[in-house]
Amino acid sequence: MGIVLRVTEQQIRQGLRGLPDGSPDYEAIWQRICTEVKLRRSGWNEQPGLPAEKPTASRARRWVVAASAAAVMAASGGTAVYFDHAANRAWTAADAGQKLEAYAEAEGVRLTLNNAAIGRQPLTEEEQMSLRMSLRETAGRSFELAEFGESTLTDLDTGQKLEISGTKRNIFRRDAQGEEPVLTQYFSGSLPATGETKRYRLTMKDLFFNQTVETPLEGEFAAGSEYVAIPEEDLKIKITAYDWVSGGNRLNLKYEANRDWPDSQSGDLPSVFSKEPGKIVIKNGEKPLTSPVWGSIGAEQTWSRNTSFTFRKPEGQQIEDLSFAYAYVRTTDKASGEWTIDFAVEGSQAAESNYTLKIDGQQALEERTGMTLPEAVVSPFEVSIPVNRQEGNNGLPGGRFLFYRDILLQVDDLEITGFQAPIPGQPYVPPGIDPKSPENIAFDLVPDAVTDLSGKTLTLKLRNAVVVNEYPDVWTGIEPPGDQGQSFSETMPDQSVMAYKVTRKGKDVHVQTLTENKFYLIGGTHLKVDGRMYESDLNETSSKYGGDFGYRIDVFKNVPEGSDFSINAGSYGVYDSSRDLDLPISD
Amino acid sequence: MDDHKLFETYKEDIYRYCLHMLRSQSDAEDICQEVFVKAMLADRIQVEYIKAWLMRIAANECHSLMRRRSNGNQKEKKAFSINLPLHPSPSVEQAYEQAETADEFGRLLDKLNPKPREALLLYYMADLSTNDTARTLNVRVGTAKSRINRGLGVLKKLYEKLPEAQRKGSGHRASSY
Repeated sequence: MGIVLRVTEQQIRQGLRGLPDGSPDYEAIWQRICTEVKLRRSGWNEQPGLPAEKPTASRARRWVVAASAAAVMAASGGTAVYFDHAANRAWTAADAGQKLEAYAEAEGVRLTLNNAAIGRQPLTEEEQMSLRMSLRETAGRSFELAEFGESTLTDLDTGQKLEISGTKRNIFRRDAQGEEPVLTQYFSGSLPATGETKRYRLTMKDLFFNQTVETPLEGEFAAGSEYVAIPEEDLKIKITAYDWVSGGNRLNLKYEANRDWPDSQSGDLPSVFSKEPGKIVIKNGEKPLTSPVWGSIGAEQTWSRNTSFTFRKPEGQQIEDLSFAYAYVRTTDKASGEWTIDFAVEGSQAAESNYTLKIDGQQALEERTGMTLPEAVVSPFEVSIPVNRQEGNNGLPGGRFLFYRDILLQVDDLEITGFQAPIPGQPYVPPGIDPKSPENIAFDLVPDAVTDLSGKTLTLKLRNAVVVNEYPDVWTGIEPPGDQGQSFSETMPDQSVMAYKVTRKGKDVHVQTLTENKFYLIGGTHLKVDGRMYESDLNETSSKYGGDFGYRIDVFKNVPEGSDFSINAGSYGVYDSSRDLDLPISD
Repeated sequence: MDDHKLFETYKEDIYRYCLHMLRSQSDAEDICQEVFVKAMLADRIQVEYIKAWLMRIAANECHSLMRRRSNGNQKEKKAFSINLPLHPSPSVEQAYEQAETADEFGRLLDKLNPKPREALLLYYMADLSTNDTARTLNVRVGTAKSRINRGLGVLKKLYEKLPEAQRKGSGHRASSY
């Protein structure tokens, strides 16, 4: 800074360092951070405005490694990027495979087994069988969710019980049309081969009907107030903090309960009761008004005896108009009994949803990428597209094509995200993929229980091609590295900016390259000292890509003191949207 | 450094930066939370200078939010005021004086354009080097220096227009650095 400004600069430095922070409730912020971290680690995506229960026939959340994750992991040493494959989609499960329409009745409830489909489990070579079931009559019972206490599938020829794939819970949810409650459950082991018929027995026991009920929290809502939250469970909550902050726009609320959440094992409570505990909701009249900042509508995602969360006040809402209630899922009815359905599955019929479709536009694809994707192999649970290409430089202008970062399968007006793996020449392979397996693009259909794509319009959408650039003649001269990191930058011919931070650590030299996730380093940096080339130790290379921040650190071992140091970026991948393509998929 | 210590060590820097960039306590809380959530989910082992790294996340998050609200959002344009002092003071009079001065200084800063404002906050308040400030802002070092100098010049002029008593107050302020 200039001398002329020195006096004022000192005062301004003090002024800036003395800026107030408005005394926020750091403890409340910390609690919300912990909650959010827990949610994200568990795979939860905040979707404000969505009801807590999706009216879909979705199974357990499945996590898929995105193609971009495969890309960014290529530099090795990082952490995989996962995303929720099922987010924001609500599809009706289609009948596929062998129609069964067998049923059993007990306590006025008819359980119907609609169909069975067999196909390869996504990302594996193992097969599984899906059974789609529905509750077509429930004797006029009113409920939001229904859950059987127990479910087993037995091979009647061998007596073997088949293993349930994925979630073990048997929750029937209303389908996208809100009509009959449906459940698709998946089993593996002891499945019929083509041309073979196997006999099974499906046994379901004790059906619980569940509703959300609310207990009004009446009287003055304030710290110290105590309420009966769940009368039948003698669950009481005491408000320990009730603070409107941020100019009255937020409510920090803490409460503690007099006991733990009811244990489903202790009585007749189904697991839905224990795993989806209650929550405080803010209301204006009968309508829930606002949700905690962290979590879905009206609910914190974790429950403990001491709970803390924050509500955002609705726009223009007067605090005194608000009322509070404790909402929880309660078993309102139970049908004790056993539903047994014997049925036979013929291997060919159940597997009829496995077929191959042609992918158009191969010439345009090959011109842009050097690869072809001639066909899509469809199963009830997955669409798989084998990749054909030669390894090595494909001779295309503008950099060697590696893969598409964003791959989508459009089915009518909905999109499924897919991924490509293993990428030739790239060390990272997503979990569950055999690195020696042929290169493939895969779309997991299971989260939506979509088991038949026939008759739908399919388009393969390829976006953001990753291409490799390398400029072996672009060397950035740097000062001899010292203990304190020094920063240098280089604008490459493709306008990518390499920001290097170079530090000497004993005999080694560390080169950190910021990528900001605009590109990623593939081969790693090269170091030249007094004319001699040094390669980094790949075992000590580390990288982090994700969010808005990305970097890679290359470690060069035993680098002598010298006078003439320079760095080359090596090969790196950039995104090229000019190679985007839409390829129709047809019979 | 474990997660809680990370939060305890840097919470004030991050929150104050967000507050004075976004001029909204509610937004600052949201962004501060997001910064630490991202930091806790990230692999920090290889991050050499954690404070600069956190500030960079904070800057990016603030940029994102401001971009989303760039079309005439009233929240961004709304004047904000902060009424509480950051640090406890030995006397009521001194506390009052410091709060007033700090509040006034916040208003001066509020008059700066976002680019020099963030450069000043990173360089002076968060105590980043010019190189780290530049990297955090994704600009060249020269650009960062230019923004710091430009902000300093404007702030100096505004500061000189303050009554003497208020200017003197800032010299007595306790600092957390």
